[in-house]
Amino acid sequence: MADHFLNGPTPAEEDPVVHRALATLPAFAPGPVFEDRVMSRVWQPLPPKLRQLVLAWRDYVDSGRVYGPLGALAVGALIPLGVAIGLVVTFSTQIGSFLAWLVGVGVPFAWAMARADIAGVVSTVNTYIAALFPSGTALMAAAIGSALVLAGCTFGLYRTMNPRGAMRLSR
Amino acid sequence: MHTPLDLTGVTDQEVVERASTGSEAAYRELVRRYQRPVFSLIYRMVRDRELAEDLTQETFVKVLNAIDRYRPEYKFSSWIFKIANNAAIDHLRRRELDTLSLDGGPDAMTPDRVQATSLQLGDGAESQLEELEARELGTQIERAIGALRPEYRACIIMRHVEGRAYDEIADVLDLPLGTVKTYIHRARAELRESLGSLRG
Repeated sequence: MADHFLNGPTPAEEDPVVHRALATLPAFAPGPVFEDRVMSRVWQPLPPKLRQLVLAWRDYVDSGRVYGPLGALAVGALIPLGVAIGLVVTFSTQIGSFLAWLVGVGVPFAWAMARADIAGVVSTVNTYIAALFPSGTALMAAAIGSALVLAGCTFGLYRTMNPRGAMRLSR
Repeated sequence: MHTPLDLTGVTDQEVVERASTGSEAAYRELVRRYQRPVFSLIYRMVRDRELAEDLTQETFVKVLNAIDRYRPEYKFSSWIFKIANNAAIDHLRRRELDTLSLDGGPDAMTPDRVQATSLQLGDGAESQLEELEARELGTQIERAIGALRPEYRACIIMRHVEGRAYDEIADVLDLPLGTVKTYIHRARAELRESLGSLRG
């Protein structure tokens, strides 16, 4: 009686033909690999412990409690910025003369040192290469070999990141 | 305590709880439980097997990827049917396929498409005459359901094929309970009219 009140007259009461027709309706099923197709597109579930951490963090953010610590961090970041600005204003003369020295003397000196070091490294490498590959042909063969190894490694990395099975399943 | 592969007697809520802790067996159990009802609903709404499989797949991917956002105070079946119905209705609105023929959708220009958009009926084990009658009745009712407005169609399928209660249908379709009752009443009346030739 309660069901009748909630759900109205049944089709059998209202019309037996409609009721009989509706009763013939079959349930359809998707294709045989449907479950695997769905699972291939569902994110890999996280390990339970890590998932608990993620859920706890999400709850923490959703509850709004995260804004307190975030505000404190923002204020904390402003303090050193204010101190830095204060120092620049207070010691502006000294900072100016230091920058002038840096541009006039420091940077050219550092560049000359670096150039000398680079030249030394290049010269050493050149000596080793000349010792290892005395002829131009040997050098060329080594270069081609290196290129092939590099191409192989790149292909291997690509296949590792895109396995064939996954590509086929994810339609 | 159930083994990971034996979730058949477990309630939906418990399976969802297990799924939200990362159990792949629970994910698969939810797919197994709901693939037929969800697919049937979408297939009867869009009338294209391939498309229905794609929309069903989208429904499951959406639901399972958001499983930790599921609120246990609602029925899981209502949640998944709501997403499935929205997917079908969105598609119908985009394609404007409000009323479709059982013999193939209006976009069916080739024999393959006609085959794809025709509902496959009648594989029971009755006697030949009963099978013929059942097939004719099944064909008529499918045709009549296909001619209903999408809202009526969703209501009548959920009520009479899936056996859902009125309040759950109202929840799934985001409609007032009274509107659902009206839709089902009108849908039955239209079905009665369409099946008039089979009376007697």
